[in-house]
Amino acid sequence: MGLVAGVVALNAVFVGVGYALLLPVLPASATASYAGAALLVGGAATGVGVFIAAIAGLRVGLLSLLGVALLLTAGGIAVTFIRGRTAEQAPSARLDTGGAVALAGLVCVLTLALVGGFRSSPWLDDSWGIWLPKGIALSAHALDERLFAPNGTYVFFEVPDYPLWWSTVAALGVRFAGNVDARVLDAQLGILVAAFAATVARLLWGRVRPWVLLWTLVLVVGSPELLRQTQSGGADVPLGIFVACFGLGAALWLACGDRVALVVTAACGAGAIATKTEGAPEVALVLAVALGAGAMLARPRVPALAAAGAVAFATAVPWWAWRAAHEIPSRVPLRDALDPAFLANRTGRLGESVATLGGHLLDPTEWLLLVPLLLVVSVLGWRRSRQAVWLVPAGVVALGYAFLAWAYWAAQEDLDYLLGTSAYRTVTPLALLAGVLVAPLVELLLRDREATPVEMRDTSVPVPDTGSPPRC
Amino acid sequence: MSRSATAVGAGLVLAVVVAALPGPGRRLAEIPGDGPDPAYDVPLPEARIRDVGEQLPDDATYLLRTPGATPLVAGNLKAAGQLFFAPALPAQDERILGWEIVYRRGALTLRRR
Repeated sequence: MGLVAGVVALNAVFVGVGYALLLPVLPASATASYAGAALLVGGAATGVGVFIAAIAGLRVGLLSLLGVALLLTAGGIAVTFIRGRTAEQAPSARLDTGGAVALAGLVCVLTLALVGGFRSSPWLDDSWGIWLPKGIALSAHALDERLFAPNGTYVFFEVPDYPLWWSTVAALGVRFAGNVDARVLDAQLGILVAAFAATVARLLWGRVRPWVLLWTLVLVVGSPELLRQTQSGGADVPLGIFVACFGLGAALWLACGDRVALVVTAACGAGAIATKTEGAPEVALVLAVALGAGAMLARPRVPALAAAGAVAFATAVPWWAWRAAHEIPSRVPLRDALDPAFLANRTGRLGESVATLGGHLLDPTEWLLLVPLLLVVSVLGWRRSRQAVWLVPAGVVALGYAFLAWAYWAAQEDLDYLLGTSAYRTVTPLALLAGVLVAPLVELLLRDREATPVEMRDTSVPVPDTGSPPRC
Repeated sequence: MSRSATAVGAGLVLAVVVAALPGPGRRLAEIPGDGPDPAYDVPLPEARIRDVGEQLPDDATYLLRTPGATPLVAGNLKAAGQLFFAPALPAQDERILGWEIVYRRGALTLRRR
């Protein structure tokens, strides 16, 4: 098909599957506006499905894609038949002038990133040295222990503990393109970033005033480090997108009962866990915080969120079982990471890890102050209301930061090498998560301020606590 | 025309203008663009690598030898082999070896064992 037609066709399949999965919960009035969410949901679910088929011995290719796509589509349609389509309306809003200017900027940046994605060969050597070759091997041999498990007979792949969603999607891109073309990785990243922006915009549309939402998205998508990584071919951008959408989806389900957001949560959780090893702990961490906050503020919605999380983790069981069966060790053994004596012997690593990771997260030339902005808005909201829920978004990012620092602390590789080659990209999920949570917090802050009598707007005077959760 | 359609149109026009001018927009749009081969860390015979991949039988096992090459060259070639020589399998054990691919001073040769 060639690069452009091939990658576009593959993503059309993802969109089709995504719409089928979203069908039971999709507001009929605004179907087209959910195309980005459909792409992310379909891409995550289809990639995970084809990866599981590869574990079962099916080569990654058109046949396995067709089988998985048909299965998922049939599942979505069957649920719609049984439960019917939702009568809910999609939240709507009028685009204001400030929002229109931001939208133009957003479209400009995304267009350039998308064009650049199709025209660039990945600069990160892990992309063409590990992710894509693994995909080619999945295409040729499925998940073959000769190549994917350490042995003395064949040359096996490095980092065998990494899950293979990104390699699977890359292999499908190559199959659709018709030849080994490294640009499929960046092209796919460009499309995923555009779908990410569209998903966040759609999920928050009508809930956050357009100028706040769109300017925040300009900050997220215009972050120099995101744009740079979009041409890296690496798995950190998809992981970041999945983790951010998992967190945003969970928050919107708990706060608003948005069922599209719940499906996005389940699919993106599965996608994150299948993309990189750190995906599972990061999803677990966000889920735990969301469940804790939900138990206090939206108890009736907690079981469904727990179920979405359980679905996401259940999809990873075949990969974990395969790893266990082939005795593939973790790069950061849990035994070491939980051993106080082991950690105490290397405390010097902790400070350097904390400083380096924090430096990347706070550097305005990398992530345009997304994390500091989230911290400021969280603290402002908490100061006004004295409600601890305001601190939850900042808290989950802080916990993610602590998790990463702990992982570098416990890792066995040379720390300088490890930090220098990976810290700038392992923070991507945290930066994107912070970025997507800024807009709803700013909106809540503005609403609180508008609802507060003028004489009480001095921020040093706490607003009386009404005991009610933040409004949707 | 609706405000959102105007904004999207303006964004597209802006993208074209920015891509046409020298600067970060042009770099982001990757003008001029790259080819389909990986951005190797060192110069490698890209066409010859694809050619060897075409010649290797699908059921082959091969060993890549890189005498005198730096670890960086050897590592890049290993990855190139995994990309372009599949479905042939890269072997470590010489007892199962069917083919040998030798890289020496920029030239790649393929021979049956």
